[in-house]
Amino acid sequence: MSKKPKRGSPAIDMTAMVDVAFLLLTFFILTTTNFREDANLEVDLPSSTSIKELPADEGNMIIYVSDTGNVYVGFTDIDTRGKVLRQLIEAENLKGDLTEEAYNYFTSIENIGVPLNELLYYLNLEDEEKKIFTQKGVPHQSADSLGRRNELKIWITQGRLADPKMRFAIRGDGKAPYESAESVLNTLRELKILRMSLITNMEEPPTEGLGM
Amino acid sequence: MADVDSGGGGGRGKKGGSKTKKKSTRIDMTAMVDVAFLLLTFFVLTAVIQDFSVMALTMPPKDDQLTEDDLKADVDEEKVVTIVLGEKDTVHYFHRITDVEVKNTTFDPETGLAEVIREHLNRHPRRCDDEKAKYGEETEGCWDPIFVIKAKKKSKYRNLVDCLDEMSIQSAPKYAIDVFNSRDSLILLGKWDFENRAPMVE
Repeated sequence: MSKKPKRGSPAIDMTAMVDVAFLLLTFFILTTTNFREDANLEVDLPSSTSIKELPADEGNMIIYVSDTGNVYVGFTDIDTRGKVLRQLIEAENLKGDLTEEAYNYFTSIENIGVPLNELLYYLNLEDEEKKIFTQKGVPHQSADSLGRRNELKIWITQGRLADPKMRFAIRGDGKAPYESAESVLNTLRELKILRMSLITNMEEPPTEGLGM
Repeated sequence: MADVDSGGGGGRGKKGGSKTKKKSTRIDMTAMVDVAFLLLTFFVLTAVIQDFSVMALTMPPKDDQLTEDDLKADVDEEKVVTIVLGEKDTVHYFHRITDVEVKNTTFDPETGLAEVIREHLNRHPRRCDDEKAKYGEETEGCWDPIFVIKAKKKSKYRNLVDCLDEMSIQSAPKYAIDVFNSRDSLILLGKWDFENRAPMVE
């Protein structure tokens, strides 16, 4: 403590700084860690030197391929999600009720990977039950004699019906077996969707090799 | 430093000058600021800034009827290099379509696959996608290399992305993904009879 007249002057009011620090802290905590709903699917993207970005203003259907080769589907546009769900239930005659909650849940999640016959059952589960439910992935192998169908094809078809301008992107894990990726590519190809995007992590291009 | 003046006590204290009444109601924020910035630094440093990019891919229309032998009739096979992506990050490649010699390479950006692609692209000085060929009439007899990518079912998706990325880095004009079929696996084993278009008979 100094003499009386000087008292108080060298003190800095840190209140504002503390506010800013905590604001930033909160921001980084919320954005980095996976507190989000779809934390069940982790995709370790391969990297590429491409600098193109996914067009955000258009409706995209994203086909996820997990490291075990399971396929999940997701729509970036929330209205499209709802439309696709209603169309699927009608076109495929799915058993079960579509409650308000189930509908809201479906439009809130980024991706889903359950076979069609389990779709409504899954959506109607309680939150706790959903967490322990293992999503088997959308069947994507070509139709076989046992009556199993390529359900990815159905999702894509309904997605296109809901939004004719739909673009398609594949978000595959680097460790995913090519077998799964190949069947996704083939499914798209069978539906005459020949232009697609592969989502990757951005990587610095090697300086050498450019300008060749 | 770093404290909140709670208004009442401090201000009056100055005026009155009384030493006994000057019990500070200020909170020392120094420690809090320290902790806040420490945590902030931690989260900033561990933050993975998710920076996605997309690779455009165009597939050829599906046509199951075409075989390699049909392709040979349409295309000068000298132009074709087939790249086979195998298990455990292995890469095989061969030039031409018939009478091939399978070689192995790696994903090394300098000596591996990149070098194979570069070598094939620059085999002849004048490429069809050259500026010259684009704007001039010199398209006759220009070099038009073609790459065929075949991935085995057990290879990883990453291998395909790496391979496609290498194509775009080297700005290869023509490349396509094709199915790895039994003919290819026999070629890799050296057991395909190119003359009879059938597996070799022992």
